[in-house]
Amino acid sequence: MIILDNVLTEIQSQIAMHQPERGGALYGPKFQRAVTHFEYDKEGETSAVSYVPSLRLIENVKTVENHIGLQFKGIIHSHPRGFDRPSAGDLMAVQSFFRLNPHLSSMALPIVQQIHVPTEQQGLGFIHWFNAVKTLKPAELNPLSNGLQTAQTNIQIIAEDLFVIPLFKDVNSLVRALTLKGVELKITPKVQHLQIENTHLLGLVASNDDHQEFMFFLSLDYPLTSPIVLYQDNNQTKQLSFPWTGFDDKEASLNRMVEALLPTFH
Amino acid sequence: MPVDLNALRNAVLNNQNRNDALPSNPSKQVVVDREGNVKIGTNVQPGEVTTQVPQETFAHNLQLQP
Repeated sequence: MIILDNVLTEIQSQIAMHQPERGGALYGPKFQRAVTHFEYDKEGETSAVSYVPSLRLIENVKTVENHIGLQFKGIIHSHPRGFDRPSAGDLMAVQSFFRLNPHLSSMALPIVQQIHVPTEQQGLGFIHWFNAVKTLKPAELNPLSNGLQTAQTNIQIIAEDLFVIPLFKDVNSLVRALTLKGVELKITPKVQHLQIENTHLLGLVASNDDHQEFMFFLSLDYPLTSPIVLYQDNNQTKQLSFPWTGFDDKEASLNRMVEALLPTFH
Repeated sequence: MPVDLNALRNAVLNNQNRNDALPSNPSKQVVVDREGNVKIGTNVQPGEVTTQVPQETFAHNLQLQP
């Protein structure tokens, strides 16, 4: 699964840094295996051993899918330390999910473990990512059920690798580098979705009160593929041209982008 | 497919100033179609079903009948 770096930061601050059990909803672009938004369920019913999504969160899923254009990807919640896999109780909830949504065949079901000190975004030890998949025939025994003998289910729990897209990290890095060169910009912390035909892009805007700005869009293949950067030239929006060798050296490519951006601010 | 970058920028900036249903970094999608036209919003298409989330308990120690 691909996840945006700020989503991981929010999960850390809203869930991992607190007592279990807490949870929330995950969203991303339609039909893409990517999570780009997280909604913490502050009204969820929680106890030391369970998490029940709130009615408000449940209703908001429809609103988000109807009006924002994002797709629900799954439920994330925390377990007590040591219980780092979906439980038999979680599987029952997933069974209900598939009963209600016969058009869907999978949902994300990541489990968060409590941490006491914030980790760098690259440190993913607090989150264990699983995908619950509807199968054609019942699984006889789910090996991930922490030793519980579960009823037969049509659900398979599959552990997945997590790939983090450093959107905020890299735009912050660009803004810091520009500040050192005398151009101070502020990032609007609102992720923009852009779909060009079948390509999904995610972006951020950095600007200041002097009408200086740039827009940074990346695809889910970033940093292998180049980001798209837009800038202003005499009230015309243009695309920045710069050499990108993200496969080889992303930092050098970002530095080249800073050098290419600088003249656009004067 | 030439894209009107000024229209694209305006759509993005309009989104930045909107309030949305999602409290965390919400935005509507900006869509550029095959002809390069810029549109905002990808509301549910006719016939498309939205997701229903059950209010079931996610519990780490719920005992089930074998």
